[in-house]
Amino acid sequence: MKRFSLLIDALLLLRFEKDKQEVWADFIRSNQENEFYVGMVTALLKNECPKGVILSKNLKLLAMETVGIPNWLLDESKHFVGDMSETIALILSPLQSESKVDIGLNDVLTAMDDLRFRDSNEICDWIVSQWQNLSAREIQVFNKLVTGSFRSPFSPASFSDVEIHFEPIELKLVLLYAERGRVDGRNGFTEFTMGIGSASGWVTFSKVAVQLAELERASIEQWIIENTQEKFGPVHRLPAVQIFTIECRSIIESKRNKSGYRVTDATLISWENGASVEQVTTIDSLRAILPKR
Amino acid sequence: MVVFTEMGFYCPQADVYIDPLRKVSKAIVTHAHSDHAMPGMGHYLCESSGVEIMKLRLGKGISVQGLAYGETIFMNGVEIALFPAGHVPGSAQVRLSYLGEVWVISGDYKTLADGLSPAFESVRCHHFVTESTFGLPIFHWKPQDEVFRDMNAWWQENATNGLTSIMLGYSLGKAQRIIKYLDRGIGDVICHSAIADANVALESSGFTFGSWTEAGKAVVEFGSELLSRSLLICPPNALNGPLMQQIGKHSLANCSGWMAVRKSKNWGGVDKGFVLSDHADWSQLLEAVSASCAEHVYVTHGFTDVFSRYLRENLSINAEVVRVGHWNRTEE
Repeated sequence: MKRFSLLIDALLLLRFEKDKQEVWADFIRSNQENEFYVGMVTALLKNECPKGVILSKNLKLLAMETVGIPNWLLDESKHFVGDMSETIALILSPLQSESKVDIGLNDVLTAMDDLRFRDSNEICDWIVSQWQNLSAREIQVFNKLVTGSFRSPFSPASFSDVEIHFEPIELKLVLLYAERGRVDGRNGFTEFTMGIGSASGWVTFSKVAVQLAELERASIEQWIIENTQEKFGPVHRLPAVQIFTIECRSIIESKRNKSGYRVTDATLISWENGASVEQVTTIDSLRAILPKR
Repeated sequence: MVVFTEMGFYCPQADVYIDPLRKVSKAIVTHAHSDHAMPGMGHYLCESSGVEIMKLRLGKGISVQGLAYGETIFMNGVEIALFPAGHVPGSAQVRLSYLGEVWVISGDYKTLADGLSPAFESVRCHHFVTESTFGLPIFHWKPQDEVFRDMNAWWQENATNGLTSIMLGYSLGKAQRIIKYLDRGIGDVICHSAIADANVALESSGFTFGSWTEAGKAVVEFGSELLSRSLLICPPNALNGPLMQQIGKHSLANCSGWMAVRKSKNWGGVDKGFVLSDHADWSQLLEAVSASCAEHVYVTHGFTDVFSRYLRENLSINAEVVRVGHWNRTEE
């Protein structure tokens, strides 16, 4: 959270889009060894943020209880500061422990994913424990993330100008399910569910829209029809034989997915016809390149 | 014993004003900042170490008497003594005592020692007048060691990149506090002429804060390489003066309690902000009020309504807002 909050703070203090882009370019340069982290930050800066896990009014109540100040005093403070997330962050600063544990942006997003359907006490306990380990500027960003109110400091048109700076992540995945739908006015397969290797066999990893040249499309559709093992409505279960190259922007830990990860912006790049399943990416090889905390 | 008037705090028994806002014959001044020490008074009384800076600001010809911390004088039976306020060099709380009733007018203060001004001493009293410049629970100062560590790191980074560092800070107190803790291993400390004048007055009164060079001299004598490794301290109102053109490539920082909040109007285009104040933060204000053991607390300057309401409703302290004259500006 430290690196991310420093970036956001620097961006918020700048008035001109050009200066912001310079800060962003610097950020990418200094984190270029960590594509996953940059990908995660990019998604947030494009306003592709997870939904909140607590309502803003409940976060305010939690802050009041935690510090022991009355409602009117928090409102007066907010009136001066102009922003509730920042007000809460400033009010909490005496709470911070000397021995802070570093909390990664990825940890926060993963925990939010995991907590979303838990009961509110559990969520509140988690938030308070994070508050104690974060600095005021980190808490300001954290509060925005947990209430789902994070907004990019960039204006849209110009952020996408600087976004091209880094390479997408390429994975080789195996086709496990294909779903029927309408393709150019006829029946065909519109979506593939791709699998990744794990110690306990293949696990589903990501869905991708089917984008293939006409000949390749006809050929894979023929193969699907001939090799379907089971049908659930429009979904065909297939043997793990066909390999595809998939590109994605970032990979984020997610306990709600079987593989333990979710990806953003997965795109089908090519069909590796005839490739061996030994080339398929495994969870172990993913872990080796995941963000450093 | 003390009344609140358009002219300022007034003690009728002693016939003396404290920090008066208009011309009066006798004035006790808590410190030499311009919203407390105004020109035109018949006679001034201030803390002994503040006499030179008072003369610098109000003119050599003023009639001024120094009173050392802890010494007492009597004015028509009222015992008057000054105690350290810890705000800036020479700043004092004024204690007035008459027929067993004690008032303390604390002026501006901070309770954390800064190593430059004598540290704040709490004084028990029946009536305590407190400021509330930073009287909201969002203001919590970090230990100054941390702030100066960050400041020196910023300076070092600029020096490495060939940028002169420019730090904005008021010329009395804040500037000298910064000068004292800058790491001379990085480069030279340069002071704008207004700060240089205050430095000389304070040095002659016994305050020490290390080596520095007046800006006009530095611009002529320093080569560009030396200049790019230097840190210039400059009052905020001198930012657009001719000096800036002579400095060349630089990084600009502000140093104030207001830097704690991200509102853009506080930042005014500076590259970096350091949160450092010579005023009490929220917990220091509460600590000072509690340590005074006062039965009546009067709140002036800043978030007066909020701070007095908190004292009344949450701590059951008999507190009220006092409006003296038209204070609406605080020099830090």
